[in-house]
Amino acid sequence: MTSESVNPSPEARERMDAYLDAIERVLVAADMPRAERKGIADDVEAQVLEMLSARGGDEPTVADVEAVLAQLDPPDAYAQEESASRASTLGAPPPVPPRKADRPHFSRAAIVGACWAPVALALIPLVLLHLWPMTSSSNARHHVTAAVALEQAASTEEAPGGAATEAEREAAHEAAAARLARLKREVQMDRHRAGVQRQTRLSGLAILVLAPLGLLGLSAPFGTTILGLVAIGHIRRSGGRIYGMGLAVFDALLFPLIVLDGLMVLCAALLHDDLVGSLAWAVVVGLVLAVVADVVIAWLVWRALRGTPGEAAETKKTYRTLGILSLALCLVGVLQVMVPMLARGFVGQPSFLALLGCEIAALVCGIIAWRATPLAKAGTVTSSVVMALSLLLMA
Amino acid sequence: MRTWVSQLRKGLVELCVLGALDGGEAYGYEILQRLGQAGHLAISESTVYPILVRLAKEGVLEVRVAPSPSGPPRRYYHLTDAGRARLGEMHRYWRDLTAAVDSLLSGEKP
Repeated sequence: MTSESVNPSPEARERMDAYLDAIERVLVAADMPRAERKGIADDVEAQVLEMLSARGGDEPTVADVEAVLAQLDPPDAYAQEESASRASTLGAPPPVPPRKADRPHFSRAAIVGACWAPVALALIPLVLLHLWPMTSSSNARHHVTAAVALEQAASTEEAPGGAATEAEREAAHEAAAARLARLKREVQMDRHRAGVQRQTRLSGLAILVLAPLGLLGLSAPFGTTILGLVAIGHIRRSGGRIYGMGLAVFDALLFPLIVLDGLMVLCAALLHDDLVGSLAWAVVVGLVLAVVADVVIAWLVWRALRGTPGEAAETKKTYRTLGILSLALCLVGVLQVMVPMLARGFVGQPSFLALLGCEIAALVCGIIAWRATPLAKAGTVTSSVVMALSLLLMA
Repeated sequence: MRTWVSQLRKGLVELCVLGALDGGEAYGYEILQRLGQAGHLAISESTVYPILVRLAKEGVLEVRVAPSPSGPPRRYYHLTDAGRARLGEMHRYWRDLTAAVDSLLSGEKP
């Protein structure tokens, strides 16, 4: 064989990569494992380069690559040959029609995750139900206080003596008594409502309905996020059989981003004296920053997941960016705690909250790009450790 | 006729690939060239490479990665003990089969 080293021009390399990417897509669609796809791609690439080398010239052009690729099988041939070769082994079972699960379908994990998320919102009525009797009781106390004050006022109206006629004093007394009676009725009705409410809350049926709802609602942030990540994995490995990446990304990012937003707004509110002076403006600034962070993270994640792994150089770059972002967020979180600690000897609660926010964002970016780059692995592991340590310190 | 030939070739690819490696280790393109030199087989890379990775996964072949002067590292394939056993088994079956078919075809002739 020839021993000449081949360095295709960038354009020629691009054409070669496009051919290899097309084979990769066909093999992904045929549900071939990643390691096997890589083996085939390496063999094809080595063959193309050796054929280019045999044509002569150190730097093959696009025309040279086109000429070599014209001698090779079209990428689609790998789908037919791959399935045929699997069926042609000794004792291999005959090809079976695709099962129902193999047919293209929307990601079930993504759907379940999306259905689970709103259950968290059901916690709001639960909280309101819990607070209602307290509100009623406080209303009742308020009415009683008002009634007593009114009765006292009615009594003091009698005190001046000769300042009013007997009839006027009698009329004022009757009016005060009437208002007092009306207020007492309102207090009784409030107490009745509170009693009914308490009975409703304690009924077995309510517990049966509300307890699972509460559990589902409390676990929704974890469940939805995990199902979103699971759905992303399924969709990427399915080679086009499972779709619904948009919903899966929504599930995976919804609650982490809500937590991140909450922490950012809280930090801005706690630091409002240093930032803008006004609490309202600090909250607005926090909200704007939170929205910007949401858009950037969602865009990066979506761009990274749009193609199959290794499909295009752009996708690889985005994964790398996510990995770097993960590590950078992790380090920024640590630094913004370490710097004031070294300078002033203490760290405020806002810094700890900002640290948590940075680490959560780093964790999400790291998990998404986990397989693509060691930077993402480093970011994920480091942010997890830092988060665990900071939670321990805060506790 | 063409479909029949194509089906027959596909069924024989694994035996041919193992046979090509019986002469010593080789990388993908080299195996293709060995098959090409045998004549009449006309097996292309889209058939051979998936079979190579599958056989490696099954433990029939072993892969050794070594630097190549023309570009990225080459993947050299060689038979394992299991591979040699399978080749022997397939070769025996092939001999019996061709003998049976030859006998049948010659017996039909007057």
